[in-house]
Amino acid sequence: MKTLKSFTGRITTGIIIINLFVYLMVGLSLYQLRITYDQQVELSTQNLARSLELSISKIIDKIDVALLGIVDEAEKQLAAGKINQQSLNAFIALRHKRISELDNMRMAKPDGLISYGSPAPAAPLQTIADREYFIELRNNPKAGLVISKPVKGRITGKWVLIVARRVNNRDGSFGGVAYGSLTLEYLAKMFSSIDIGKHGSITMRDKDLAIVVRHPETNGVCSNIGMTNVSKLFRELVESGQTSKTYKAIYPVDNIERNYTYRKIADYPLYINVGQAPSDYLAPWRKEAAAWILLSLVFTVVTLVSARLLHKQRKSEMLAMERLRSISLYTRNLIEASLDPLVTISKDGKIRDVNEATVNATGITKENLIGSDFSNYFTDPDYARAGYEKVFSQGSVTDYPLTIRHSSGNITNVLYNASLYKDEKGDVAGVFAAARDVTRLKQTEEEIRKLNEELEERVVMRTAELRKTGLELQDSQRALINMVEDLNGANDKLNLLNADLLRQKNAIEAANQELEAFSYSVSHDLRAPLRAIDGFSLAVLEDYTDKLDEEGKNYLNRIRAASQRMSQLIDDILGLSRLGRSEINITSVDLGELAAEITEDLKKIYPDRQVETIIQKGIMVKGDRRLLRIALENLFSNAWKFTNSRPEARVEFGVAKTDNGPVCYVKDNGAGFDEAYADKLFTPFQRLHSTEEFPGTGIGLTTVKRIILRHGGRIWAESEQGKGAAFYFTI
Amino acid sequence: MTKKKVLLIEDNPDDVELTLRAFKKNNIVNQVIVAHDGIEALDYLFGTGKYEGRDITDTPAVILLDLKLPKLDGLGVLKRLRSNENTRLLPVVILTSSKEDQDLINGYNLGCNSYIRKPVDFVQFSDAVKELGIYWILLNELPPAQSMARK
Repeated sequence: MKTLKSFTGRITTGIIIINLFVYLMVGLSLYQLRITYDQQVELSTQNLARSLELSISKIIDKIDVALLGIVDEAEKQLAAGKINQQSLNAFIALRHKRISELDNMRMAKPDGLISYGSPAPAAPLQTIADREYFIELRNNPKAGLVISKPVKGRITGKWVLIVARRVNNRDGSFGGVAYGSLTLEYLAKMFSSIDIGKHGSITMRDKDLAIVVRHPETNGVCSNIGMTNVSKLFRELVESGQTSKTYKAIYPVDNIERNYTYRKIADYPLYINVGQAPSDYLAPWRKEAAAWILLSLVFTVVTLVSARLLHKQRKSEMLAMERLRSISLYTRNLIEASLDPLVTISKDGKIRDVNEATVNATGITKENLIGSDFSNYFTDPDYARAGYEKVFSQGSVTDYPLTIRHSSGNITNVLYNASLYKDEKGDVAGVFAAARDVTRLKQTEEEIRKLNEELEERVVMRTAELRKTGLELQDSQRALINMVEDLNGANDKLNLLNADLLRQKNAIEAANQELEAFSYSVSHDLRAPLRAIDGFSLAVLEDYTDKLDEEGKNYLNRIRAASQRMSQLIDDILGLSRLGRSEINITSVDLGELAAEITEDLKKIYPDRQVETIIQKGIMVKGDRRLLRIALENLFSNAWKFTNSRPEARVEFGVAKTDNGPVCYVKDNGAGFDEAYADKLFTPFQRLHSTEEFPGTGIGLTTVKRIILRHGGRIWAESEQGKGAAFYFTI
Repeated sequence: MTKKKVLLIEDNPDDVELTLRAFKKNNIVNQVIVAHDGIEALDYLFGTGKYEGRDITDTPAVILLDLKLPKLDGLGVLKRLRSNENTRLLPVVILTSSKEDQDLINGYNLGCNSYIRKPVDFVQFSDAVKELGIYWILLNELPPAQSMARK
């Protein structure tokens, strides 16, 4: 998941960078475009201003030429005496015809009366004596061409611009004014024919920057005439003497910012000013910008959405990968957990993969195993190769026996089970083989095989023997037939005997039960009187001691000793009888360990005795531990007893190997016995020594013998009077 | 407070005599009640029959029980004691001649507190009685339930 986080970080950064870049590019190009638009509009205003200047100056030039013609004609007629009204009118009409821009062309006499012209003035004649341009021309012979401020025609009533020249008399005195009336309407029409946008403007101003014509007119036809309200910048530029300039300013009347170019119209006191408003010329740019911004936004949305999708996809991919990884880990762990060596083999017999068990079986690291030949690791490589080739040709093998050779030289017998495995396309990818260690199985098989061989040998031998015996038997058969006949007779007798035996067996069982009841009774009832005898004897000794002489006391003590001895006898007899009845519980018993325990106990009971004990350890036998302990206890306490007169007593326990198997022994260097009476040793209550010499009841060795017999063993004794005794037994 | 009693369940008069002598010789002066068979012992403990009306909260400090008894044997007596609420926790010492494994196992299974085999030698017997007297009468603390019952 860590990688997902970094992926998220990368994708976020990427999107931010791409979007920033896109926005920057769009911004830059829009800015460039904007500059281009600005430049274009500057060019446009400049061109328009120039062409308007040209047109207007041409018109004025044309008018001036016409006026000069009229002035010449009028001055010629004045020089000749007087002006011929008819001919001058005709002259003017001719000129006027060629200048369609002019509303009229006329001439006023020095008194200001408009007397000539085209169209010819009709009575009553109007005067222009009060007009500024008339006064200027009358007063200044060198005024040249004079262009008036807009005036309202006294004949036509139209707003016109008067272009006028002075007519001199021969003597140079004022002879009148010739003029042409250029209707502002004409100019306005001309301006309005130019497309300068909804908020653009074309203005013609006079030398005082008063409006002559403006398009569009803010408050109806000619409403703007004479307005001198201009931007400060424009006024400064004009006043500084610049005849042409492009600039940007806000027109104070309508408060609209425009890109302006103004030009002075030739040498005339007129200015033409063309302005275009950004709101017009930038409209396409704005549209374009909006389109680009929209596109950019769309791009942002698209990138965000695709990033989101990408992130989602990546996340699910990573989750899937994580799942896949854990599944793969799980399966791998299972493979590694297998105790059987597992291996995959490619078609050319190379190992592709192994588990830990294979590494253990071969003693070669996984890295070295992978890529090496599978057959290398077996005692018979050719047979190993044949094995996997068989899988490729037949699909699988089962219980294919091979022997793995460990790098240490150890070998492991295995059985291989192998089959083909396929890749994701379903094509055979290789062989998957699992080995099962059968070393132990093989050993067992080998043992069984050997046993079988031996058995067969024995059968052969026995058959031969039997054949031989068979021949002998044939001879014997006849004799047997005779015997059988005799036996038949005997059999009848036997049947009778068997019936008798059964009766006896029942009788014995009954007797056994009686014996048990008897034993119990003995243990209780025989002891009670003995206790009374002992107890009351002691009571007499204690309570009547002053009335008894020494002999009397001696007798009472003897009574007590006798009763105690009898109690011991009863115990021993009971013990012996219990031996015959108790069940045997067979386990593995270490006789040496038992002997060591018993001699340790004896040393504690008789701390004043010095007895050297030589005990052989680890004598393992099968038997009843409790009974064997009783037997050894008896043998050792006997040894202890009969060595009590020896200053260097020695007791030995061990096992001797003989032709008839192992024989255990307990030896001492004590009093010993006369071998002549050896057979009496194991008879109950038989004693070879006096009670005074060696106390005892004569039950001990009987008990030992019974225990050994119950274990199916034998017991015997060897001795020489005065030179110690040895008791031997087998189990 | 009077000294606690000892209940001796024994049919053999010789053994009774010897046991009492052993008590006396060892200066154990607690009163010894003798029951001569199992039924008599139960009568004494439960206040029935011959002992009708006896204050059964006056329980003995220890019961010495022979196994071989007329009418009801020792193990039978033990079984009845252990199944009765009042006598369930009374200390019982089996005092017998028997050394049979089966008797030992049965005795302990039925919940006797101790098992002593009567030795023939009176000196040893006397020592055994002394030991059990010191332990069960002087040293042993009875369970609180018994103390409650005595009040």
